[in-house]
Amino acid sequence: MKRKRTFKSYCLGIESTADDFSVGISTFGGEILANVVSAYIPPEGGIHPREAARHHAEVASKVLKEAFKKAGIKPQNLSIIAFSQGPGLGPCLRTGATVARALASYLGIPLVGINHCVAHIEIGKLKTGAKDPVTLYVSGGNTIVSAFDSGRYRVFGETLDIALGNCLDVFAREAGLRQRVGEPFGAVVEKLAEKGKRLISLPYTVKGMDLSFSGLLTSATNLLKKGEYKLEDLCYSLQETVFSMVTEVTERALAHTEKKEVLLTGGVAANKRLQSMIKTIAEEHDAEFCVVPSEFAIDNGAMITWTGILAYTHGVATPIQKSFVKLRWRLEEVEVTWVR
Amino acid sequence: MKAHALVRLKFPSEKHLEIVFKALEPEARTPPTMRSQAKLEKENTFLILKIEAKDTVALRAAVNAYLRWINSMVSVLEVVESIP
Repeated sequence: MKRKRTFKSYCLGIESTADDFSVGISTFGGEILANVVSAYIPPEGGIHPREAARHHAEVASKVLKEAFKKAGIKPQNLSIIAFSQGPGLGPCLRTGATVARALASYLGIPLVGINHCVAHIEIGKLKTGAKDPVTLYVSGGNTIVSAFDSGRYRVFGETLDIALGNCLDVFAREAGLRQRVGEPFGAVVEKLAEKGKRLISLPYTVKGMDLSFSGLLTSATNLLKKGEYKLEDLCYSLQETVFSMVTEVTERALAHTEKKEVLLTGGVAANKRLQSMIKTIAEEHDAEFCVVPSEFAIDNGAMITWTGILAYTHGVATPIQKSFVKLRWRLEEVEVTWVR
Repeated sequence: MKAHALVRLKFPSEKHLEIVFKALEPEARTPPTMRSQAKLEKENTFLILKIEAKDTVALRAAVNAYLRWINSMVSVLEVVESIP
């Protein structure tokens, strides 16, 4: 079944790399019609991949139904199905992939496999109007400083162990804090950090252009267990240290590339303190500071939808029989054919 | 001790069976671990899922995963068909 592509063509995108299952629907012109997210919140501990995948399988039809209702379109109006093909947790990716394949096959329309990291950058560019930024992508699973060069988003610096968001999440769990729907651990830590006054010395590990957070997390957790410092002061010190580290690397990438925009994206982009630090370095380098709106900062289907449109309209499609999930699909492996 | 399972699932039509079969094929060809392997076959409107695993723990995990995927695909197709 071939459909004529116009600005009134629609794409449906499925995001399922980690703890969120989300469906987005948008027009080929970039208008986001629906962006429905269902988050898996574990009763205790971190994300168990199998349990998160079970959540995704259970909510898939409900989320899809709500997305169609919000978008006000029929399934037959869709021109393509996009899905997050990687990187991510295997069981979660496979759940989203099987649903996406079934939809594409039922509707007889093309399937497009999307790199999750590229999608975070592209939705940031769409929503902020940034054209060619240095991007700081910080979330629970990724910490990457990148910029476009010679057909790909090149990685200038990244974490060598855990992601910045994961560092904050684990510390919050160790401190006995609780997350709620709409208030992730990062937001809980941020609120406490606002009340902190004393800066406690923590390991600051920047190696060349790369970062390490695991030693810092152990150190902060040990200080927490000793009980010598207020939790507010520890949250404040943890935030100041990790944000300074990513800000330093982002500033060096900005100085090296001489780009005129800095884009902050990913779940941790919602943090006001990080925003203010990145804004400061952007201003010092005469660059425009751009931050993705919080709705599109977390993992969401809209970013997969929009990147699917960009990829498909520039010749990318993924045959169902070759649509294997890619658990370790790196950002710079993707040929970004739609950026000149 | 190796463990085996054979699951026969009836679908409402050959079209539905073909959709689910095609969607599962890439997973059967690239199992996440070496602890289990799955083979998919079609017989009229039946999907036949044959799983061979290293032990019963791996067998249960693989059977659960496939049934969950099939269930979510069937529910999603029901939603799509219910929208006029």
